Amino acid sequence: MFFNAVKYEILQNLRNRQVIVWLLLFPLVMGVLYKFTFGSIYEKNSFSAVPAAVVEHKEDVIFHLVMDAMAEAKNPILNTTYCDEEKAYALLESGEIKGILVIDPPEGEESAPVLSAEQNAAAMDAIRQYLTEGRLPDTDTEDESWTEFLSWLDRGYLEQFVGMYQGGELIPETRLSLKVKGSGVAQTTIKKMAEMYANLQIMGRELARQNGAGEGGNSEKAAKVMEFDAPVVTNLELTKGNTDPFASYMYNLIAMVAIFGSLAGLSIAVNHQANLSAVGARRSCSGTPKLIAVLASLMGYFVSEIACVSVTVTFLVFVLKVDFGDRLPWVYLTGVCGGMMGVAMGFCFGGIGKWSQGAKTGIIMALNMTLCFLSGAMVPGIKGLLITRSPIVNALNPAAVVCDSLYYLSVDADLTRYFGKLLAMLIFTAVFVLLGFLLTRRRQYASL
Amino acid sequence: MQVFKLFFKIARSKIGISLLFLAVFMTICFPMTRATREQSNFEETSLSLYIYDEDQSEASRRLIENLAANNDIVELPHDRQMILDAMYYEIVDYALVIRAGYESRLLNADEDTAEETLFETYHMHDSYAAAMMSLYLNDYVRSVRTRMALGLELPEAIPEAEKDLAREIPVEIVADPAKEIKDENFTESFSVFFRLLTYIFVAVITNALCPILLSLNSGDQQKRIQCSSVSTSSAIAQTFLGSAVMVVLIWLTFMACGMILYGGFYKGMNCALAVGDAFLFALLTAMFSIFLCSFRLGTMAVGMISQIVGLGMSFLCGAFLPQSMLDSSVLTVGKLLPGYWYVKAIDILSGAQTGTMHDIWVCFGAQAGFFLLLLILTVIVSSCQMKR
Repeated sequence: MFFNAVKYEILQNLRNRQVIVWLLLFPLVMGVLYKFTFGSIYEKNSFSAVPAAVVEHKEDVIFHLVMDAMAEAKNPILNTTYCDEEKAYALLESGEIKGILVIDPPEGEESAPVLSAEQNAAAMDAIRQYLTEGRLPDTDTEDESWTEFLSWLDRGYLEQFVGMYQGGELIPETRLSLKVKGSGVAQTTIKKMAEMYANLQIMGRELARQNGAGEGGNSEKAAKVMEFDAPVVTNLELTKGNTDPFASYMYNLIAMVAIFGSLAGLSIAVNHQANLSAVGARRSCSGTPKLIAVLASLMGYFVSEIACVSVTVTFLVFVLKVDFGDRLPWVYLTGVCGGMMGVAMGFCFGGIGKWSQGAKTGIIMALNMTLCFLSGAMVPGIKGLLITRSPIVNALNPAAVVCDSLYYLSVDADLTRYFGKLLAMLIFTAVFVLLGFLLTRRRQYASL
Repeated sequence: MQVFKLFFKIARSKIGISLLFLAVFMTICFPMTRATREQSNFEETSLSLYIYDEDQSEASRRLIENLAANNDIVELPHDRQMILDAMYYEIVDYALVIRAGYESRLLNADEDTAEETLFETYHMHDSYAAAMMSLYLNDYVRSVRTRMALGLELPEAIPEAEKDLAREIPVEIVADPAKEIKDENFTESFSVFFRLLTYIFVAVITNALCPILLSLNSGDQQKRIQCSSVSTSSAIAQTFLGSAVMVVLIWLTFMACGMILYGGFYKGMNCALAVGDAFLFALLTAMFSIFLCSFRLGTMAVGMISQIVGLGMSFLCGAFLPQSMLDSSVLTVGKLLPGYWYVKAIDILSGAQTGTMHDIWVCFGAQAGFFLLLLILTVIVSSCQMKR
């Protein structure tokens, strides 16, 4: 009798449009939508060199040198474009760059004409040579690069350049300023880079001045320190799993399907109470014991919900190619436990009060959407907010429990935390089923 | 006005569920609007840092104080998984460990000890925060060491280095005053409330209006209205009027709740325009509900469609995530939805996007266009349904 009732319950569910719509169609449509919206958002918003324009009102070859050296790093921070003011503003307006770094002469000094790109390149080659060999190229040498340098620069400029070096002026004095369209992390990064350079410039000039004035000794040691560029920070990898924060939308989608099982579970309570539905009235006067009938309904709904969650997971993994890590069987298990919890939740809430099925559906729908919202299905920041300010809400939210277990599966090396959440789902299911039974049992009706 | 009265009689029987939706979504709005940090003029982005000090020296303490001056320090247990969660959910931007022996290695920088770094950072993925903080730490260490090499002792070198690092370059916000319509009375943090209304209006208005309209359009009610002395045009007009009054009530409720968040009456032109934008969008949503009901679908189908449209439009149009974060292909699709124009107008008014008054009118015009389109489609669908 029990299995017969289970069979008919499953058949009934398969013909139930509410189950098909909310537990099959809705997640599939939302999955496609999420994939379309968040498929490329991680790549788009991941770290890349911040584009900035540099406008020089005074030549600063050291700035070029520093920026070029940083651009050659493994993960460059700035991507600089040297151009005139007009073009820089146009780029800023179009959003192609995040800020304009302006290099001005010190106050009181007039803006000097800026070298052409070719002259600039030759000057930088010469300075690079100085930095690697520790001296400026000899003007009498046969060195080809130096000859090339000379061909681009007139002797007067060179003499001025050497004079600057000898007088501690190799590092020119300039004023940096930044023009941006608004605040943000990219703009702050440009500012920090510019301040780092300004700091280097001031210290470099101070060292060169001390050196030129014969105050050597310490300054040589300090220069060595400044050139010493060993990294000070070691990166420790936190996880080898999927760190895409937008993956949490997919975890939430599975959580949503699981929790929407409550819409189906609601029918169990309504269809077994004679004062709430005609089916309930018929069942109440049938010969089948209520416990057996309710258990069979629960079993039937569990099977239907498990099938729906499994279809959703399969669709996400194999059709939409969502990355849930390499523990796929556990993802299915999460869906199964989450789905059972959803059905049990609906069964429990369905037993409360004497409202009609429509009213109860509305209430449970509002509850589901709230739970999904608090689990981060809509606005990602809410999860972090709850974890810090009210972790208990997160721990007691069934949608968040499903979502967290999928997150742990994805990022944790071991399954300890995952099993904790799985256990929480089973406890929730047991408590909801128990409460559901308590709320629907031993009902007697004077008149129907 | 019999149909109008009937409309509100049905509304009264369904008021409970409408109020429930209203209460749920109002509670959603509050934490979200409060959670957003405000930025006016140029403000350096401050990071949320987790710092674990293994060294416990004077030098490490000074470094933490220095970092805390411009950033927020987050207290967490020193547990790898807790740090992982905090970084994943963006509670922490950068997790730093000051390694044991920091002070002594800061004092003795040479090639032999070069491989031993001073800090460790828990890395999740490359980010601006990580790049910025690594840059700052490099700069800090170099400055302290240079000052020491110049003859200062560590206790004097640190404040000197901090002075070096505190030097800031001037930053100017470039904005064409002719194009800038930002108003300090309508801030970016408060605009989150208006952005969330994209989803909330669709969810609340459709869930409040559709059951009433479906009841009105149900077989018996329809037949009773048709055989009464009320003309068809009058019945339609009264239904529209009832819907309009209902929408205005919902809109007024949300605007009043917005005032609680705002801390008083709305001030300034931008607030007025945002309130007008919300009104336009509320009317549009009501029109969408009427359009949906003209298909004579069941409550369940209407519920599902409203959820898909509400959530879908909110994601595609930048209501939940800022439009600047979305891919261009997503925004292209978003432009085909009214929510995009509603959110865009709000963003321009709050300064999250640049735009002119002309752009605002374009957004309003686009929404009015969608309203007309839905109205025409509703008339066509309704007449087709009547002919059946």
